[in-house]
Amino acid sequence: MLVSVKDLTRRYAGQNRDVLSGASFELARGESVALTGDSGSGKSTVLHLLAALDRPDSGQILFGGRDISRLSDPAASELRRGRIALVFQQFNLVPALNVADNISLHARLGQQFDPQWADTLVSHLGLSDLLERYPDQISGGQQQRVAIARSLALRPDLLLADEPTGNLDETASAEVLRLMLDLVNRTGCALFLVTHSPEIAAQCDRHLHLSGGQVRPAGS
Amino acid sequence: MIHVLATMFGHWRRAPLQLVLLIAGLALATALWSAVQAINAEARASYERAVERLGTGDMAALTSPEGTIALETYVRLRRAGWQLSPVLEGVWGQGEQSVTLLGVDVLSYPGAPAMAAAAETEGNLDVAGLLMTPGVMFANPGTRAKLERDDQEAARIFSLPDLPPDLVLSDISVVEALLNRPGQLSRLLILPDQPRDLPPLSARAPGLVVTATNDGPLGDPGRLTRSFHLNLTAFGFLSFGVGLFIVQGSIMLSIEQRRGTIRTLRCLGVSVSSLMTALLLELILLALVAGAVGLVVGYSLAGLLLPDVSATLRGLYGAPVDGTLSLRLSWVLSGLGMALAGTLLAGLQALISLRRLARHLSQASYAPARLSASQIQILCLSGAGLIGLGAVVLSFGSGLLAGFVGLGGLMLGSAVLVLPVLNLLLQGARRMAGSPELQWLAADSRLQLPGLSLSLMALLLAVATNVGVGTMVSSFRMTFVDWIDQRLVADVFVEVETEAQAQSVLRWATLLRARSLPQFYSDTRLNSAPLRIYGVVDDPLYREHWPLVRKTPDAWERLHGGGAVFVNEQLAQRDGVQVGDRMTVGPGWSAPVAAVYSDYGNPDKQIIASLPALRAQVPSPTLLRIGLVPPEGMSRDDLAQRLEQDLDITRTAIRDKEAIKSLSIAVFDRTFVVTGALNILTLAVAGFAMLTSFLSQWTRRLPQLAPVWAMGISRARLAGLEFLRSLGFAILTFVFALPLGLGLAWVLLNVINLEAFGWRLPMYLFPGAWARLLLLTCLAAGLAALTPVLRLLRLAPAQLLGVFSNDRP
Repeated sequence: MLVSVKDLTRRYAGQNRDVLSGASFELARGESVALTGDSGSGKSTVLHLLAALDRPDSGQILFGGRDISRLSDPAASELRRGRIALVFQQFNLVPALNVADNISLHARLGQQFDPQWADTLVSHLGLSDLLERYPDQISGGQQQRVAIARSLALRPDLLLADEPTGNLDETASAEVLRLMLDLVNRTGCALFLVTHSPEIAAQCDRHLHLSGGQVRPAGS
Repeated sequence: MIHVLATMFGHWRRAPLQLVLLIAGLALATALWSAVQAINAEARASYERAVERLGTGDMAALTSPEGTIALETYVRLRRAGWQLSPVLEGVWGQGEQSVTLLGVDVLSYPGAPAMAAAAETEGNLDVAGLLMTPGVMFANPGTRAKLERDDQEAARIFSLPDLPPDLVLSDISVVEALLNRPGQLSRLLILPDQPRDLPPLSARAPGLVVTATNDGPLGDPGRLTRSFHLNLTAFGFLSFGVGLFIVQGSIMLSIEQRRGTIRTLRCLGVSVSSLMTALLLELILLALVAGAVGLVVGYSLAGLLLPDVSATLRGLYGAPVDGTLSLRLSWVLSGLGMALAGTLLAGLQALISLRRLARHLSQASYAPARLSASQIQILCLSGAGLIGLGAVVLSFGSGLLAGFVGLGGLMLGSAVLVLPVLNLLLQGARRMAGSPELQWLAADSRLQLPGLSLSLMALLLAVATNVGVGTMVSSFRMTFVDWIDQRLVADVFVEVETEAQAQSVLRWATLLRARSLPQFYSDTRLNSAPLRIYGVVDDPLYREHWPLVRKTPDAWERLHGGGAVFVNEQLAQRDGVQVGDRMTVGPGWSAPVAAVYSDYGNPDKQIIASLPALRAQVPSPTLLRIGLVPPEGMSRDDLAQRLEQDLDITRTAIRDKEAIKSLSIAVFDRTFVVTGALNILTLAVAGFAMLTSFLSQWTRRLPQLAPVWAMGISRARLAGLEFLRSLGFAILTFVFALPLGLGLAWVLLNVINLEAFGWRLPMYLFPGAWARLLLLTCLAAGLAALTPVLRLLRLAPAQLLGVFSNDRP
């Protein structure tokens, strides 16, 4: 099992209820899992905890058998640099870098940059003509494709995507999702996708639902 | 409107530190500007008071190229109807006890009412009494105290506080007697009310020329010191400009932070014009508060600096300035006006930004903008244009103003170019960077450039000014030290009080086989300005050491055998005298000029003649100091000791070369205390400008940093990179500022100094000082970056996660 989450709880300062209260689930290599839930239910919190961007109040997150729930910032950074990649709804590209540099940045930080694989991604995602442009010079759909290329250029063990199509229209959304699932299959990494949309969730191998701070299989 | 203003102003309650920074920046800018203006105003008032007390204002006068006007000429002109007031002036007393005597006709002299008032207050004398009482004189309290050692004289001296130092005013008959110059006049003041149909002056007195009285006893201190005041003003203006960068940064930050408030107010029906009016009122209010604080600080600063400025003005120009400060309404109003104008100028971008923001509510939060190619092109062209303009003005213009305008062009042009140059360097750095982190850092730094541009310009100007002024002062100091070594040809100097004592020292020196260099001199006036003429003996030491800057090949032979004279640079510059010219040294004494020598730190004209030539004109020249060189095998200390023992001369009257040198250098250093202080203050303001820029960038940084953090660059690492970036900017700016500073130094040494003092100085380079300045610059940038870096280190992950939150505006 790549990721094993056990009894996670998380409460934010100033709030009188737990966002997560004993959430548990697992994620295998090569598997795509979608997490749905109402607004404010804590979907993004789960994703941030999996990326070691945030720490739970209690519980365990085993990543490849190693507990990553209490990592220091440098250790968590090292983990993300080499093994975990993220795709956000807001794309979060680095505005100072052009498309080519944005795509290679994460892989180069993790010292796993493979130019041939990057070329494959660029061509597969239709970004060949945009390499010299800057993020503010391309459309939202194009930005999200750059974000996907950036995350997959690392060949991560785990790809976390937070509403990756939330800012895109229906056509672009379908196209981006198709490309992402296709590439995830090719790399063999695990995908954990947070979404509002049951249609998108349905395209993943498994569908989990977050409600009342607990993660359960959708429909259960 | 009041509600809109209150809502907008509410921001400052939540951001008190930001408010403090804004007010501090503006107050600092106003303080430095106002301090300089207070000092200038005080100095100008002192000059004006002195001139007014003499009552001559901008009156013209008749003078003779021969130096004196015969009494008969005055009588002839008076009979022809000309309303004139005769003046006789000369030097009275010896050495440091000497004063300038100004003899005037009490009935016609324009300054007579002030004399009469003083005489009435102190001596119960009216104008008639003034004429009847023999030997009544007027001097300022300091000069009076100096002369009070002689009780007989003190009884006749009344206090006239606003007279310049070392000037004694009296009736012309008294001065005639004291100077032993009966029937001689120095000049004739042309009174304002003249009858009609007067015969032309050229017919009645063909030898006389009309001159301005500001060539009189004060030598027009306002004109002489213009360069100094211009220099101070330039410094003040620079600091003010740099301070405004701080204000601009803070105001822009406040607009950015009030984005939500502005949006809400717009939704509640507040018009764009109401929002802009509210911001304008807020700016005015802040300007008045900060301006008032700045005036208080500026007044205190001026009070602290004025004694040093006063010392500088007396030392370099001999200009009279009181060491005390008075509060002037015009100064307060102009200070507040500057604060207001500066704030509005600095707030202009904020007003435009607010207008845009209020009209386009849906505009996304701050989108970083790289410099576009056309922007870079415009900046390059403007910068090059300004530098070209400065170079043209410096090459073809003349005078102080042209010098400063030229300098302004060079500095402003370079400041404009700093952005494209840094952009280019960072572009290159990005390409060359080996690691992705450094590549990101270079690319991200390029993105920050527009936001940091003003503070980087401020830093550039401050560093260049430091390098320029520092190089000028250090070159001057080095030249001065070298020069003083040359000038102090003897090893020991003895102060003598009487002719007999002088003769005994000379005889004693001959017996001891010590070389003696007696310093005979006579004080007089040339073109109404003080002049000291030295008569030197023919000694090879002079030939070997004396610092001649321009000379004929046989200058020394012509001095000792051909009746030629040497003149100091000040005289050569002010009177337009060149080597080879023939000049009038005094009445009936003209001589060719064989050399020009450097004479730093002396505000007055000076001439060197051979001792026989001086004695031919002045049979008994003053001898108060004798230079001695010990014979072989005798040390300087031994010689001094023997002098003490053999001639019973007190130790205080014997000074060795090193002691005089140290004293002179101490005086020199004090002269430039003000410049040093302003240098450091300007750099401090630039550092403060960087701090506000970094803080204002901070709110925009999170969206740029969060993705990189998410990709695995830890917060500590990001903080380190931020610090590195700040140092990088400081170092790059320093590298760019260095050649600019050296250019500034060259202009100061070769254009401004020449215009201001009459001497040209060689330029030396001081890499050690640059290294110190670089450290100081890095320290300023490091301190400025410390707050954002610490914030980054302490940043909670939740704040960074907020960037990824889907409902982020």
